[in-house]
Amino acid sequence: MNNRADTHRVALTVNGRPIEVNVETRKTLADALREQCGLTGTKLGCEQGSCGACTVIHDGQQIRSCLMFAVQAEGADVWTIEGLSHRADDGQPSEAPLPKLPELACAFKRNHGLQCGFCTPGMLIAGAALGHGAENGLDDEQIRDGLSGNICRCTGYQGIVQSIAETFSTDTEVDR
Amino acid sequence: MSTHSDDPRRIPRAEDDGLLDGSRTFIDDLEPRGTLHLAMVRSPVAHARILSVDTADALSMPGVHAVLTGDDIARHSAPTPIGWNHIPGQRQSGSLAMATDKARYVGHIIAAVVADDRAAAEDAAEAVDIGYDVLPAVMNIDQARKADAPLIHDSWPDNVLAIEEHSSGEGRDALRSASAVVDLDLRIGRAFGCPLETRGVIADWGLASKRAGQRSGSVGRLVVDLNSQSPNRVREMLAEVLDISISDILIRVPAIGGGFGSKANYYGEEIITAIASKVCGRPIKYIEDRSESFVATSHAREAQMSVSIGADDNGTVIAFRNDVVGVMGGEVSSVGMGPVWVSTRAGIGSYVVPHADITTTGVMTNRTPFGSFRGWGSPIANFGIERAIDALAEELAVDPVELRLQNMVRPEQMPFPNGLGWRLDSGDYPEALRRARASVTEAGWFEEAEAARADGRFVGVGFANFVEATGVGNSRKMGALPMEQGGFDEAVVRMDSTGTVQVFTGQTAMGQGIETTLAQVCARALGASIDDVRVLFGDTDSCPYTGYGTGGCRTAPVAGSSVMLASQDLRNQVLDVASSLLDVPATQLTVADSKVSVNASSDSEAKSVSFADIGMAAYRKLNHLPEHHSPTLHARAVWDPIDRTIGYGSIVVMVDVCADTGIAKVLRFHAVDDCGYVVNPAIVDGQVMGAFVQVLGSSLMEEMRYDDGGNPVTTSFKDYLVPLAADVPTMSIDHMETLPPDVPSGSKGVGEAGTIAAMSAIAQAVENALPGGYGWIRSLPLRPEQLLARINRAANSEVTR
Amino acid sequence: MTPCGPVGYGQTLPPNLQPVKPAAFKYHRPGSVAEALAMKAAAEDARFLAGGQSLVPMMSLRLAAPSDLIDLNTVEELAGISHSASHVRIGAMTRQVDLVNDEALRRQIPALNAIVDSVGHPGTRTRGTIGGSLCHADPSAELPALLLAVDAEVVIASSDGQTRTVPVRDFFGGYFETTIGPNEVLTEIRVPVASRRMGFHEVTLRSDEFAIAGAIASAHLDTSGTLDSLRVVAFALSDRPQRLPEVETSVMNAAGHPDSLRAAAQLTEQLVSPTDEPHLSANYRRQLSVVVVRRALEGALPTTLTTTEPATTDESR
Ligand code: FES
Ligand code: FES
Repeated sequence: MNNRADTHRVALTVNGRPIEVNVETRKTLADALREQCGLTGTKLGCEQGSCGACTVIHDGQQIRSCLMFAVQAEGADVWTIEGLSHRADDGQPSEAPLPKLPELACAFKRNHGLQCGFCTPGMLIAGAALGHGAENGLDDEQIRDGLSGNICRCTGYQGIVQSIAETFSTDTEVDR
Repeated sequence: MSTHSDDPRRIPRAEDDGLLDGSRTFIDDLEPRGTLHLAMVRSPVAHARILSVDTADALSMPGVHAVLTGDDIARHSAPTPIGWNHIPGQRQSGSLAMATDKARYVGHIIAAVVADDRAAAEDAAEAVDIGYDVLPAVMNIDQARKADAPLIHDSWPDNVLAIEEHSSGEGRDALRSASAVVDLDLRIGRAFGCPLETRGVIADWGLASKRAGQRSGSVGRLVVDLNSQSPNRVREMLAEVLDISISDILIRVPAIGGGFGSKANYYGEEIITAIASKVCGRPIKYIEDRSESFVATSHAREAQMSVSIGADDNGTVIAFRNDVVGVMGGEVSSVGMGPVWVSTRAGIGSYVVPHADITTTGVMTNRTPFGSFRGWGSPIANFGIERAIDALAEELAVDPVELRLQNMVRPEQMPFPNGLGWRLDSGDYPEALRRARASVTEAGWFEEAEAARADGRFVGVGFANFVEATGVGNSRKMGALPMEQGGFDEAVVRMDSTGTVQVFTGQTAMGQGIETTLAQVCARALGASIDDVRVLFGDTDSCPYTGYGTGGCRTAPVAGSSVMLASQDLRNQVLDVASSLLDVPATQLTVADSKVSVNASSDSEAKSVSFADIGMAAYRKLNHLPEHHSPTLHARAVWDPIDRTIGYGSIVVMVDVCADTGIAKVLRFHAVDDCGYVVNPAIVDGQVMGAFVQVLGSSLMEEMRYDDGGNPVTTSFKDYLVPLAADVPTMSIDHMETLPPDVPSGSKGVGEAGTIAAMSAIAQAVENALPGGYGWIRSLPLRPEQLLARINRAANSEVTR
Repeated sequence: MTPCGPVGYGQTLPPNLQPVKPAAFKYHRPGSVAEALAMKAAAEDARFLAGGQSLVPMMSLRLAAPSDLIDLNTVEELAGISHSASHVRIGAMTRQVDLVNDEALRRQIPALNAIVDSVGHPGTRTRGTIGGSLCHADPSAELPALLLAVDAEVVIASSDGQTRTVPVRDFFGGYFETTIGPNEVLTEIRVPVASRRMGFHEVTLRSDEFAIAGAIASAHLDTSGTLDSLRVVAFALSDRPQRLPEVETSVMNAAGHPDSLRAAAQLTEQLVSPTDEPHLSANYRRQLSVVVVRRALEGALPTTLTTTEPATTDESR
């Protein structure tokens, strides 16, 4: 098997910074982010594409970093929780996608939207991507359906759903 | 019905910031320099004699450092002890961390490969050649108990792990004097904790251990990073099987991605990884992968019950018996038959039953070992008694809620010995149920269900009660059982020279918020501002010893009490120093918000010193430190529970069964819970909701299944269906706060509260939704097919009518 | 295409394999279809990598261990949607999420939103492709069934420079199998332009999971609003998506009258061949097949055929 080992040099942008990594072809993007970029905020709950913990932003869209080989990320623009979770005034590069993610993170804290926190990076990215795409706000059912790819074993989802609803509700301004 | 939204105790959690930005370290985020990686070679067959293990090809593969087999494990370690060995006659397997003679379940470890990285280790794992003589698999209770059943452990006379009988009054004989008796056979499917983070361990025994084989001298220090709920138990276990002293082992626990009991057990992987480090002289990392987790992490719950309940003409329960048989796995887990055994104590739940008789039996099968999962045996026991009461209500043609109210332990009977060894210590059980009923009535649940039924839908409401034994002790009584594990908890609370307070605890955090909860307990007892309190845990060198570990719902009652007592002691020290600094007697001082102030009523006007001043005076500028006060501010307390403290409550669910598919969905959930003093309502509610959703899963969709040959067929999240957001209702929780008499912190545990009655309430709600009265659901998870058949039968009989 | 077992859904892992990291392979980045085919032909046991949402987990579990991966993501000519008077042409590498972003396609396939919403998860639809779904040939997958329901055809290119066009009904070879050859690659899907009304329904054991029974109905109405033709497809009920001509005929004979749908759907029970599993009997899935077909028909066929309200779709459980 190892006689087939194949290594490539890949140039990509991670959290706004251009980097180059040498990756064995069989390493997933998640492996490369965690092991080679030191970005361990991207979690691995299954490595089979069925839990959503490894969700990252790839060229502006949410993907599962366990379902893509790192070698495929040549030229890609990748954002992980480390780059997405800080506000612009906290030094986050202004071109970061999902500008409301930091606000969603605050809502998670307020609404007890996390317990162990293992699903949280993926949940925040999936939740913010869901809200980002919904100009007309989201009702409870849309939020729950929109989280169909993300497993949380701790919270029972209530605080998560509530946080997304609060962050992306369109009538917030009207109400307050 | 949402409660406490402005409760000042609902503070944000200290642990959240590092989890929200991904900076907290979990086990797989660690990798010491020079780490090698381990992949396990696991049995693909349920039951087989191991004829040969050929590692030559694997060893020759690139990047491979070692391949360990059962022989290596036998050379370096003793059999794994069973922690819960207090059940009379419980058999010992004497098994090692790895299979040596026989493979006893699919997933049983036969060999372990150490390589440069995990992928290379897996490449080589495929090349380990194992010869098996496949034996017939024993997959269920009937097969295991047949007279000519193949023996899973050759030295045992049969496949029974243990049997314990426990009774009160006249036991089952009293059923004869009952005027109404109902019998039912029940079954609960196999489930497991399934935390989103799998188990992982990194062991570093240094080079000394490798050399120790060749010459005498120190064996070095074994440093283990492990996502365990019970680091001290793992430490003791490793010391025992590796024959080294406890002090030569350091266990460090990083952030844990959920435990739910499955990480309270200890496992062979810990031992194998330590031995691999000894053999290779390098740090070794093993991370269980998702597929492995379904066969390698303890299973739970699966049981069959044969239940009888007897009542007099008025519906007063006289007698109850339950013969519980737990479906154990091929090896005995670290908790032995404990989770099933607990049914002997919990068997009659919230009710007064003068004559009870419970037997529990553990039967071995060729399945993954049976261990802990949130609620332990309580959900099993609860399903037995609550189902029996529903069936009795049907028999007597009375309302099941009324029948419950009639038979529940009343507040004036507290403390109430249940006759089976539990003392129900405090609370108003019927009030919880009445309050739950009143809340959902007011919220219009019944009208909603009725309207839906009038519309041709199948919607119903179900109730169930629970008791939850929390904060197990007393340690001396536990020691009197053949058991080497206490229930006490030690806490150390220190203030530094800047006035910041550190709480050291032996508990571990796995999402349940102990950093916040214990900080709140300390801040309240000490008079500190919450921002000045830090909670430290997860390091067996610097944190206190807690034999029990974090499980059995003990953080708030037991650790909370030890932290509270130590904080009170520290408060006295702080007062002492402040009194000297302010030159005012301590009796005239008040501690609040990290400040000691002279009481407003006294003459001296609003003088105060801050904790920082006090810290400075105790550590660095000691000229005002009273003669009798030794430098430093340091308090230690041990709390050994006088007895368990029993939480209780009632839950209500509304369920919709789809008329087309028979698939049930929970529409609403409401709980009334009494866990004593609520330290943080958000955290407590989160515990109840999260626990409920896990059992919603095992009632409706989650089940570990095997085919007839003993192959597990649920080895991914695509087969083992844990609930998703859209499967879960909006939930509300109402608290009663009865302070238990014997618990200094005033709190009872709450981690299991949501799990215990959930199966029972869901079953009753489905019966309420469908025709046919109460008590006919005998098996969970529900099978949509059966519910659909019932719906169709009802439709047909209506047509004929 | 190499037959392969599904990930999940009641399947056991092969003996003694519980791996999580793929076996080693060589990676290729072609720039064109021709180059991709040449690379594949030159390698020992190569596979094309499309969206990877099924192949990558299979490789992680070592249910698939190709010697070489030919990454089609770099072949630009394979992605994109174009419309002509007679057909919508969908490049094989068009992402699932991009299907619903195409307004003209949504008009062509009224049930598209609901169907694509049921494919995987939001986080897999951004990578997963329509061609990948088709070639994976999972009998419980929605997109293959949809393409059969709209009478699509697929274009397949071969390493000898030839292309062939195959109706979707001839594309599937059985459980996770297609009729595509080792030296061929799927390049395009063609959906005939038509005015359709569609209904879709599937049953899952959890809010979001593989379907255990599903159906899609596609009805053509003529300008007067009369039912012109009907295609009904069941999926997750046999080894491949399956057209149900008997059901179609029965509805057509009744001119799509709403009262005819229930009886027509009832025929499904005898037409499908679901597998029998201990926790999920074939008999139960037959019952469900009737439900999903009825719901799909109800979605496609308006109560009064002459009205022109927009078609309804139903994606509830
Ligand atoms: S780790 Fe990628 S989806 Fe679970
Ligand atoms: S918070 Fe633990 S899995 Fe979601």
